[in-house]
This record gives sequence, structure tokens and C-alpha cells, in this order.
Amino acid sequence: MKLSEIIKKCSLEKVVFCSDEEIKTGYSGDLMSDVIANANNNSIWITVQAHKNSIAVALIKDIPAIIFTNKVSIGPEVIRKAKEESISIFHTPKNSFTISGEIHSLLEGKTEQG
Amino acid sequence: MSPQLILKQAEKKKIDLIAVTDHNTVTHSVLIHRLSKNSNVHTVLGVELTSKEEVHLLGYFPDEKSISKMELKIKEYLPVLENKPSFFGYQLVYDYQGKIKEIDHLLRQNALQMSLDDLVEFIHSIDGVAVPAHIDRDYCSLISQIGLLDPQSDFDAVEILRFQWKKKNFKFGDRIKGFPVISGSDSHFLEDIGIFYMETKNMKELKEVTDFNSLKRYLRNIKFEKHS
Repeated sequence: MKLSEIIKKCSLEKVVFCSDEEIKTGYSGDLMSDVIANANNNSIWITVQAHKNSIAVALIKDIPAIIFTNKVSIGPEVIRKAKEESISIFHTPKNSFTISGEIHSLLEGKTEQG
Repeated sequence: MSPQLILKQAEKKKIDLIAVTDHNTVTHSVLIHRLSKNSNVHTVLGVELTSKEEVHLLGYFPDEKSISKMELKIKEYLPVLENKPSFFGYQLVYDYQGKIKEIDHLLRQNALQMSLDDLVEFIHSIDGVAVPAHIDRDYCSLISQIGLLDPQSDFDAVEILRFQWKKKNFKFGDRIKGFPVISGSDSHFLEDIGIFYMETKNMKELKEVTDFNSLKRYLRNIKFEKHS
């Protein structure tokens, strides 16, 4: 599914939008080392960890987009790094459970029902 | 920042005792410890570890034999992943002459696959001192990752950010929940060295802290001193 479609369907607030990537799956987690070890490439990553190192983790894992949940504050350094490294970042007031559920049904819901 | 330049800067700033604690590597701490034998600046061997829970933990060690055991543990428990120099910068390794010897390609920012409690236990087993770093920070700290400082835990001290230290007017010898509290400059650049140092209520006591053993003894005395 195109990133733009996910943004629309989940009402995500754009903080940095780089390119309309094809998103295959998602990953939820707040421990950097866990994401490094277990997330798939081309995932959309759902986390409360709005630190500039999150951008580095996305780079390492070829993750094109991050959603920061619970409306956590995103510092200017995070935004600067995201622009520099072409990682899209989004904001939502929803918590990680809710947004993960929404994206899961968008990306993988159909196959499970079928 | 080569160990040679760090030592020179510390001499210039008239600092008595420093510790180099790089992330998940001990190489430069060992190097500066050797170099400092011909200097007025005393050094303590150390490292800043990242536990499995992504809590930053400072370890200080009595001698090279002890810290080399820590080095082996890091090697065993740090996932083999490549650093991203464009983001984190090149991890340069200097030699005894101050020349660049090699580039460390491992992602030292990553977490060791060992729990905080196991790391503390291991550090103690090699006679080291274990101190959770910047416990009040909102990223990679005891509070951010675990939620609280358990008074029953086995730490030898706790470290706080220097801003908090100044704000709350801490002195070397003070405690938080029974743990001796320390702080540092957390120098990531040469200019940072000397912008912060700890003072004590009792300068005579501080003068006695000149190396690892006296530091360990001092922390122990504070920790087990009876509340009067």
C-alpha cells in the first residue's frame, strides 16, 4: 500500500514527508536494538521514541517512514535529521496499540480474512 | 578526540582525576590510562555500556586485567552490525603515538544482549564499580527505560546530568535514595573538558580520591554511612 494512502486512512499528521513509498508491513517497538534486530525493510515503524537516533535506526534498516504516537514531542534535531536522511516522519495522538491495529488491518487484514 | 589531546586538555584545565568512558569499547580508556602514568592527571579505567533494556551503565575498573575481561564480554554480547559513519561519525582508533591506527566499524551505539542486572553482577565479579548513567535523562536512562530507581538494587552510585547537579546544588558525597550521586562533563568534544567538575563538602576527603581504589572506597563509605 502506498504511504499516502496509509496517511489518509489513519489521519496521520505529516511532520516530514519525503516520498510516497510502497509500504509492505509494519513494526511496533520502542527499543532501538529490538527494531534493529527484528524489523523488516520497507516497514512503517510505530514508536514513542522520538530521538534523533530513531532516524539512524530507520536508515540502518531501510525503514522509509516512522509514526510517533501519543503525540510525543519531536525535537528540531529529529526533524532536521529526518529531512537530511530522507526519512518520512508522522505524528498521531493515538497510542501505538491503536495505530498498529489500524495499519495491520490495512496491510494484512484482507489476507487473513481470505 | 585522541587520548593524547584529552590528556593535554585535562592538564591545561588542572583536573586531577578523569575517566574516559566510550560507548561499548574500552580501547581508548586503556590507552589514556597508560599515557597518564607520565602526567599529573590521574585516570580511572572505564566504559559506558548499553544494557539489553537500553539503559546506559558506567563501569569503572581497578586495572587492565579487570577491564580486559569486560572487553571480552562486550565482544561476546554486542551484535555484529556495521556503524553508519554518515550519521554517527567515524569511530577512529588511535595508537600510542597519537596517530590513527584504524577505524572501528562496529555499531557501538547498539545494545549489548545482556540485562542490566547481569551487567552489574558481572562488573562486580571483576571488582569493578557499576553506576547507571544520567539516570534523569529522557533517553537511554534507568528512569526512561525501567521507570524507577529501586533502593534495593546493587549499584555503587548513580550519575545525573551536570545541569541537574548544578540546579540542585549537589556536592560529591551527597546521596539519592541512599546511592552516592556523581556527575561529569560528559565531554563529547575537547572544549567540553573542564566545563564541569565535582566539588565536595570536604576538600580534604576529595584530595584522597586519586585513583580507582580510593574512589571505590569513598563511594562505599558514602553508601554505607549511617544516616545521622
